[in-house]
Amino acid sequence: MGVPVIRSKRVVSLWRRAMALVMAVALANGCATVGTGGSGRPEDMPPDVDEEVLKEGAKAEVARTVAQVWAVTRGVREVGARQSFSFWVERGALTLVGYMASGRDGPAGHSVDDEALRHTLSTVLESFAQQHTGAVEVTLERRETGWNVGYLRLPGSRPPEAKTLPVRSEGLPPDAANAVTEGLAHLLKALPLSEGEEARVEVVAHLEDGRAEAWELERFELIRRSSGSSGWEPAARAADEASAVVLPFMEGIGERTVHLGLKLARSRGARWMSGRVEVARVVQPPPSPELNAEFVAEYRLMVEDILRRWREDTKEGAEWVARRGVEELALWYAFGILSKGVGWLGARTLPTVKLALSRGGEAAAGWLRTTLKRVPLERRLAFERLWMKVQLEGKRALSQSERAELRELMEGLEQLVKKPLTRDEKDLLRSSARAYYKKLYPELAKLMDEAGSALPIHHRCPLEYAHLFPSLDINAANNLAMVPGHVHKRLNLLWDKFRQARPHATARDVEEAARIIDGHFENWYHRASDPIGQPLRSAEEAALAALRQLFPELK
Amino acid sequence: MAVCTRLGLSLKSSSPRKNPLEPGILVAGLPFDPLLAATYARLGHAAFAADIGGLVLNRLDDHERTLEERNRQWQATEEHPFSMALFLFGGEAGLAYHYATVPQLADAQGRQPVVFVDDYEVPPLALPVASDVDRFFELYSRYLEELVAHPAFSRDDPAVLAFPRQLLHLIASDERLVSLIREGRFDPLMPGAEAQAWAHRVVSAGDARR
Repeated sequence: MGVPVIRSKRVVSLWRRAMALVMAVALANGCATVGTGGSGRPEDMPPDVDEEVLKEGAKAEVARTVAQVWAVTRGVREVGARQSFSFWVERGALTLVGYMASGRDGPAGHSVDDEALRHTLSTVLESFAQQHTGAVEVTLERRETGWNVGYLRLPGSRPPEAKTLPVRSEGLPPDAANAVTEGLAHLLKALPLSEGEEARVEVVAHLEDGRAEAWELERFELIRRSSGSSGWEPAARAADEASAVVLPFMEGIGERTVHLGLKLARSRGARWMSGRVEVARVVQPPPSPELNAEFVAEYRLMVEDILRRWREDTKEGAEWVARRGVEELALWYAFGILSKGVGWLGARTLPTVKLALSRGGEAAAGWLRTTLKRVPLERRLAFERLWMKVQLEGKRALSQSERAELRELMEGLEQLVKKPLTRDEKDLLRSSARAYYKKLYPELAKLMDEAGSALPIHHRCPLEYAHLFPSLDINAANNLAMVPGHVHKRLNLLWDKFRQARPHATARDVEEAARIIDGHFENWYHRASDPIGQPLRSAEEAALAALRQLFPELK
Repeated sequence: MAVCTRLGLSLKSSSPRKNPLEPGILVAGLPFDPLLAATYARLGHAAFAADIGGLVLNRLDDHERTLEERNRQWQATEEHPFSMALFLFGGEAGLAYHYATVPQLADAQGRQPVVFVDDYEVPPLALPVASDVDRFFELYSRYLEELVAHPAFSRDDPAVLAFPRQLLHLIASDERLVSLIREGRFDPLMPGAEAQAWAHRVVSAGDARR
């Protein structure tokens, strides 16, 4: 089956054609297959997103996409010119994932009804594209007096940069859009193209979320030579169409590059270099060995939500992040630090921070939360503010003094985790452990609220040895256990004997001691009462005997 | 209780015994503080602000006598170092931190000062925190207010202000407590360097307020 076609000029007949198209698509066999929609499992939606928000967002997505497509298309007058826009669609969100253009060498056609084209595009996107999840292609073909608009569903799974939630915004702020044009113009003006010459170039836009971080010229190939006058001409016009193509790609998420294939020409007698984009495709960076796939997936869900808020309202989005801080967004901060590194800050290598965060998921997030609990409030807020700026506005958004401040903070963390906990820090981390444990074990939380200090949280590796394991979270779930109060006393006494026997215990010593004590006491862990048939005294004596074997100086 | 309600913190309580214990009566062999007696005449058990940690009173009602049992267990423990008896009446939910009155330091009306007992330490550490039970509840209420008002506070993890060690400015406003410490009345409970350092800090902060 060929690509369904709608003639934009005949608005009145559009709805009849639209219904026919729907029927044609529904009855088609094999020429347009439904996208697989990502992993196929239901995705979590942020709590503030309801049907109304999705509807408003979908509407805004269509408006924005139509404006973006129009910006690419409006200068095209060549009859036979064909432009294909590939999107990933999900819950009404439209993410441009590819672009191709051809047939730009034909004669110019007559003026066309721009409004009719925009209306047709809106209809196609709203009535067809947004009704399903998957990859779609919208094709515009220039005729003598109008445009044909085609629509096709494609196979494929969700690309990493695709949005899963629509964004209620009108588009990039003007200064951000101008920055794209300026960046491209700056790159292109360096190309030596004489009068009468044509060249094909490949330009790479390094994007991160909604920012163009860098531009690169990857290839320059002269396809028509001439002996005309050489020199550099302003490349603004050449950059205009290219930036119109790049701008919609900036709605994607995460780090990626957009590769633009351009054909540049400088006609004889023309003052300006012209340029046309022939192809644009997204290339994902290779997966980093430091970032495990699960970490990336968890981070992606979080970052899209934050970006969506930021894109809808920069001020409110930043305030939303600031209100939550590291306590709630530790994973976002942890991933951001790990993926961006600290080398760009001029910081020394931070092996402990890197090791801690590379564990990913809750291990990384928990380590960061626990470590920042030890940092004075003012410095903790500075950490959050600066990393938030880096993640939302890019590394270049930091001033020199902010870079210095962040460098100092990060180097400070590296040193802090190697120092023993102070008394105040222990108090705070115990409280923190309690809050966390209650979330992990809500049924035990009720018992703790009833029994008070009779059911304390016990750290299996004691807090006083936290600095011997600087890349581990001392408040990790596997290090916490609620025990009856009288059991806690016996555990404390055993550790006190160990402490006296090994005043300069190594990490290995502590691990061995913990292994022995756990081995004899784990039947009391996460319990409010003694297990039946297991005398505490026997467990204690056996643990003591085993400890003495390893540490003969134990009394 | 009013502070918990005003701050939107959880509050659970249960009915008192039908026949409340009289002040001065022996409970686990120790005279019952009159202010504690008044408290237990109104409720048999309470958990204040347990949603963010909180203070839990040991239960004493017609069904359970946890208050008495806990004290008997505490007295039976051979390792605790105090040469003065302590009467444990409550603690922090889920943490080995207890609150106890000190019968031997009762005033003429029988009102006993309150110490915070850190049972994570070996031997446990006792830090004086209030000159009587009413002052203790007032201190804890002010702590909850400061905690909730703290810029870094969140209900998900409220651990931003440690009780009592980061409440020196409030504890030092209890002039009678400062006097008792200065007179060395708590010394038998504070044999170690850390407890002595705490006492010194409270007295210094109290003197600075004058």
